[in-house]
Amino acid sequence: MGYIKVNREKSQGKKVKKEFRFKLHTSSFTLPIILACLFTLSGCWDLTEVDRRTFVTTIGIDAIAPGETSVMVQIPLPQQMLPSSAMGRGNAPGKQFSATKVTARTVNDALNILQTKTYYELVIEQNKSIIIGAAAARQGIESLLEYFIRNPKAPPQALIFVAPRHTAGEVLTFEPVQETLPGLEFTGAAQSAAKYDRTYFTSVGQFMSRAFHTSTDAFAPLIDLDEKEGMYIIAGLAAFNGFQLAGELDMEETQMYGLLSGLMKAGNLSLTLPDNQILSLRNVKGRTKIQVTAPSVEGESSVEGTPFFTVKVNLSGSLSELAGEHKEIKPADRRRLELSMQKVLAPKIGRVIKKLQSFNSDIINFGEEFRIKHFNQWKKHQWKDIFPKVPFKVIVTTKIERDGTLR
Amino acid sequence: MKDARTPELLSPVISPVNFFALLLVILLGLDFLDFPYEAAKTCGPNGYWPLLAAFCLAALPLILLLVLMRRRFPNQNLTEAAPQVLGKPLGLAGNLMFLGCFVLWLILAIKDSSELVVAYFLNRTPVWAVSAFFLIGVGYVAVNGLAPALRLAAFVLIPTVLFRFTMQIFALQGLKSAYLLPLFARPPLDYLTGGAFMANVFLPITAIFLILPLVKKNPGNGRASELAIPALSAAFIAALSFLLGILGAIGSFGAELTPRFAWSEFATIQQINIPFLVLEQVGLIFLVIWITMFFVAVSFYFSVVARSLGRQFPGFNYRWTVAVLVLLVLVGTLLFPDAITAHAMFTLFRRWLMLPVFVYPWIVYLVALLRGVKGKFEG
Repeated sequence: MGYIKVNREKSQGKKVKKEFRFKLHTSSFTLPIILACLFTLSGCWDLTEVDRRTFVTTIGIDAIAPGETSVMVQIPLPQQMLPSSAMGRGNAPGKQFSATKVTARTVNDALNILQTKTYYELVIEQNKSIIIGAAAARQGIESLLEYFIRNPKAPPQALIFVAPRHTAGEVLTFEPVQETLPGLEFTGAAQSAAKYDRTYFTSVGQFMSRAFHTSTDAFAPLIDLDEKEGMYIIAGLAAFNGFQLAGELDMEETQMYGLLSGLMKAGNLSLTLPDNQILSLRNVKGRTKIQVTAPSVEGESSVEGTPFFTVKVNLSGSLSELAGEHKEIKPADRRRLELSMQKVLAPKIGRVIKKLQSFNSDIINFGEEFRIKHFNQWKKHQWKDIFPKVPFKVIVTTKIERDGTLR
Repeated sequence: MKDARTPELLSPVISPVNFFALLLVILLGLDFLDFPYEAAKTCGPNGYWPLLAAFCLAALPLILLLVLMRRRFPNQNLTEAAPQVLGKPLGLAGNLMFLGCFVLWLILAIKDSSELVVAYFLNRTPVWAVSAFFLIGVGYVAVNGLAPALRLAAFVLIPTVLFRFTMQIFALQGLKSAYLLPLFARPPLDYLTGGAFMANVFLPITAIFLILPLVKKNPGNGRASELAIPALSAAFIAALSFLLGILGAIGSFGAELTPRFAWSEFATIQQINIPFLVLEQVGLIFLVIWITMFFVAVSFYFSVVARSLGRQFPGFNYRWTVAVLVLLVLVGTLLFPDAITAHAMFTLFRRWLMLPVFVYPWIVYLVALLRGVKGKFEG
């Protein structure tokens, strides 16, 4: 802004009048911008130095009593992660993390109280996983997860686990023999396709989208402890009905679920064939097609007014072991083995579907198929009311694509 | 003392390429990252059809009108033509209403974007500071006329559009096609309603009515195709980006969860999870890109509104008008008591603000047609 002199000549010509007018220069905005930069670029309001932060890598949640939630956070100890020689502490291994617990009414409340237990600012932006105790999961986790979905600082990529036989606190305080930071290892496992075999990982965002969706249910991997060996066991699946834990699938059932849902992309499968021969496959991939027959079609629907589902599972993989068979495998043998596998797999998959129906947990997407293919019929039903009793049949086709290095 | 640069900076000739860059940047910059809300709310899993409806209901008629207006008033913009067509009092009132809608839009948009920044990144910084610093920057660009905004649009176009599309494509990694099916789950009226509610994503096209005579290849030229082709291309590319946003949001979260997010498109980007990516969350980069586009768009809006006000009231000095507008918008953003009210009002206004801004240019054109009023062609 400037106060400048303007000469204006009047129409009469001779008389020159001097007047003053304010003129706005670009510099009028420059000064505030410089000042703003001085204030903001140094981060005057939101500044937190890295060395003043305490990073949370895993959060454990347990239900203590109605209205009481126990939250434990696992915090890495960076100095313990450095090589021993760098720290000048010889070869003595140290614990790479600490765990701090607090009990409060809600998760947010607990995390706020946890701030009082740490010297530095507790930040959850780097949180990798959330472990929920089975008791809390059975009560329903909608209110527990609300914080993680509403809070913009909480990463939606964080993985969810359910601890069926231990509390989340026990899982977080457990010291594995492998000197690792568990939170980071869980993420590493979830990034490996080979690990999608006996369990299937899910993030907070994926869990919420499935749980919110009217025609699907959510699942989460189970995490257990092998205290004798000092290891984590991530295997099996927690099936949810809405936001409540409805039941669990064991390792084998989870494999069947993987084939059924198409989540198994490079799994390993061992089957005992009818002739007691043990057949193992690697790089197993499951592709499933679910066909729905509308309730109005007569014949196939055994229960009045419910749709009928035909589940066609297509399995393919490479032969990795055929215990007891030491002769050359010819095309006819391959066909015999494939048919034997089909005989074994179809009832196993059927049993998993039945089990999920007994949980009223539609993690196999029957409801989704029904909604897509017969939308008008689907609208007439409350899917949760009919899912436990919908009839289905399972058709399995198998293909041994390779036989390894032996003929 | 007279600033000799001002007329050129204030009314520069806008080449078709520059026009394309400007329109694309302002269309993408003013999408506010939550249009999947309307899509999912009105049409559930079929949220992509309302976008098509909005394109047909808003973008195409507006581009057609741009061409028609250019033919009828080759050397006048809307606010200059309106008094000639409607008479001075009515024309002035209509123009003020038209420009007032833009100012209101700016107030709501800056409030909303400041809340977005505060919610996701600067949660201890007061929202007034975010709005004020942003507006100071906008003022700095706008005070120099239209040319800086145009140059900025051309400068940022390629990297911002490229990054935006890349991230939107990456965000499809969590897409479940089942969430987008069946293809037609709603009655046709729902798609039209959704289209009407989503029409505001093409509202930036209406700002072009204020710079219409400036868009030409060379001074003296001014064929309709110079306007229509860039406008159609920009609207189409922007619509593709909006479509990716809708597919990403509804396909990842489902139609039930999508409307729960305040900025659902941004929430979709935050879901990107690529192993071994240098950055764990690309949300910040996306926001920086979006804010760059938003900044250019807002600077352009300030510039054209101030310029048009100057045409209405010849006594108004352009630079002072910009300064007063900056102050007015800042005060407007500070008047909102909280983010919840601001967001609710923004959602409501975005649905209905489109109506006067969309209808007014049509009224001017149709009355001109009926009365046989034409602009003068200055070859």
